[in-house]
Amino acid sequence: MNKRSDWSAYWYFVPVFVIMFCFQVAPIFYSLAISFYRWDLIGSPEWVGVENFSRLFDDPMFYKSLWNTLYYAMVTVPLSIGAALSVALLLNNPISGIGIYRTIYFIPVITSINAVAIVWNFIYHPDYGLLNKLLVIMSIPPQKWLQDPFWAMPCIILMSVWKGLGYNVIIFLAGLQNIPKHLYEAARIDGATRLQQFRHITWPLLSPTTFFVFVMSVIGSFQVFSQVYMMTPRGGPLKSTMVIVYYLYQKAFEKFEFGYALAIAFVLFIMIFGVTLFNKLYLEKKVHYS
Amino acid sequence: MRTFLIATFISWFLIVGLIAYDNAGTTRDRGNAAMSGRVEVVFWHAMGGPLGKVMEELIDRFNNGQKKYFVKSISMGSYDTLAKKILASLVAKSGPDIAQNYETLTKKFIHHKKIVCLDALIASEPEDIKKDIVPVLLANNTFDGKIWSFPFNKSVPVLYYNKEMFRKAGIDPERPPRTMEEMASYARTLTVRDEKGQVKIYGYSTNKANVWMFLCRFIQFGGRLVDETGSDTSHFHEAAGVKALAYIQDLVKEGVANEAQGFDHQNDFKAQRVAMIDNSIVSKVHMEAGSGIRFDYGVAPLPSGATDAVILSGSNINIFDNGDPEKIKGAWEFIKFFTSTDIGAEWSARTTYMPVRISSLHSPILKSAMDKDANLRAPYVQMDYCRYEPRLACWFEIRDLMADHLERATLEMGPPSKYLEQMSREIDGILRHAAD
Repeated sequence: MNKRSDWSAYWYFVPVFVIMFCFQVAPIFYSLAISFYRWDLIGSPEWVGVENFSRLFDDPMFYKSLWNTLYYAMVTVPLSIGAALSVALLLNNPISGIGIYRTIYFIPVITSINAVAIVWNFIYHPDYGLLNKLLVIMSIPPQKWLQDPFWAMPCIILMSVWKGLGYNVIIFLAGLQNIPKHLYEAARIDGATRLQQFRHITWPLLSPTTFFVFVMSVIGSFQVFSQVYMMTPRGGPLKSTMVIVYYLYQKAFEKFEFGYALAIAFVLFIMIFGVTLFNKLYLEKKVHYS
Repeated sequence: MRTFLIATFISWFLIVGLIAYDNAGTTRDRGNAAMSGRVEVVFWHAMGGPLGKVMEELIDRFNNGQKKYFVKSISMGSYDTLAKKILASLVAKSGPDIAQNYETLTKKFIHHKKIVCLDALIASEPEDIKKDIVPVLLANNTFDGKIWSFPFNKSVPVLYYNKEMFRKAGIDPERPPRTMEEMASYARTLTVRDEKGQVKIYGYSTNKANVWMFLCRFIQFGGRLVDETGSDTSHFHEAAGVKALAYIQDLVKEGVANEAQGFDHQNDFKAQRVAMIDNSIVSKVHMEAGSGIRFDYGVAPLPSGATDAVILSGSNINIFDNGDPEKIKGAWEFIKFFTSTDIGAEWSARTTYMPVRISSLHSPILKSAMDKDANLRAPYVQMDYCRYEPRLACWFEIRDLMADHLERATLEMGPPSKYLEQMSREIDGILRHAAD
């Protein structure tokens, strides 16, 4: 082999590297640098050392947003995995019109989150919303939903689970179809019930898929923003839906405290990194790659 | 597979081609403006909907009326986006030549030397423009004795009421409530409940966590705003603040008023689900646009407390210092045109924004508009006692904080002083922090 062909490989790598470097790697380091400054965008950045970070750890609203994000993640992740798996199991059956059902479940995923949020705003409207109309028919007292500090977050969670369902369903379906049919046949011959089949064949063999969906859902949950921004202006009633990304958005683009916002962003980065590392190192051991 | 690849390639080719063609189009326009020797003045704004249409029409009239300057108007959608874009563009050194702005940002621009002081431009005119500017608007744009921005689209809040509901409830539709007590009693009379006691029509509706209305009521009850020295403290926990907060709390508790989210109260008014709402006078234009208001309604000045007071809303206009005196001159020519006696009067009559000039107020254009539509009168009645919010750099932060406390106060319905005292403490904290 001649040496030139080895080097040419690097040239193929250059375009991706340039794009990744300019739009991903460099901004990460740049924002880390800015988090040590006080910067209102219009003036010049002023070095303040770790002040932004020490202020962060004294900021009650940061802790509130942290807690709200954890609340969101801890409810949304299991709920969406459970829902997606159930739907995927149903859609894995050979029934007529399966393509139509699969399409229906996938439509929310490709719909713009802003459009979806406006529709759900209407569903949740305290006076004229669909949900309250339904409750009144069932003689349950109507609720204020997005305007109620207790209900606002569950409302956002429900909408988010619905919105993301189709995506996870597709991944689970792919996973389900990778499981060899003969295993089920063998199990049936041995007299295993459907529940046993699920417990001992589907669940373990699906674990790489479940793991992937779990990791991606956790990351996505920590980054929740659009629906909160669209459905609960100013972080919801009594800041009950103030999540980290919304808080950092508010600091950066409403109050123009870029240094502080980027300090929040960096803490968020560390958190997501940490959780993902934990998932990779600890949880992945339990994954059964066939 | 091959046909697919070819199809994809052709699609891309078409898209790229169309974009290129479109770009060529815009450059051609620009080329024309340049060829005819016109100076382009870029104007960033946040005026959309029916109000934006009126503005575009007036801009076109300016562009067609002379050959030296060309104002290119670019809509940024909302005031929030506009502010963000301006700040970002200043960093990138590709900012607009003129833009709408709030006072807090103007202060920032002065500090960082980004905008042009208008004193010299105003003085260069043969006409004494300064004398003709509505005093409150002049004061609102004067910082440390110098005029740094020009009034553009300032509005006042008013009371909207459904005359048909007034008639049904036995209230004279030509006599809207004049005092806050009267409004409370009207709200009681106007509220309609069904046989189960559920409210069908609220007497009065306002915005949730509405800082603007709280401030109006606070001054109406004799309160004193934070002054602009930066060494003042908050007075919101004093008697006037307690009265202002208790007023809305009591009406909501009684079930004769409700607090809506966003523009819901405006929609509810249009759908005849509330009898009275307060909002900016420009809501009139928004509500009348499209399907229009399909019932007889009236617009009245805000009812008074111990005194009459309203607070201005809306923005002013800045000229940015981009280093090109021709562009600055063009920007000034446009502002002068837009706020001149006749154009200003037309702008005001068609959008309900306050005219900048006193002479506009007396112009026949505005007079005949008021004769045609008596609902146009209310804003101008209030001009004599119009106020503006403190132009402090930290005022938005304070406003935000106030909204949180006001929201909590009507959610939990505790005693007003509980929320106001904490609010004042936190405001003082911000003021102190901003001072050093």
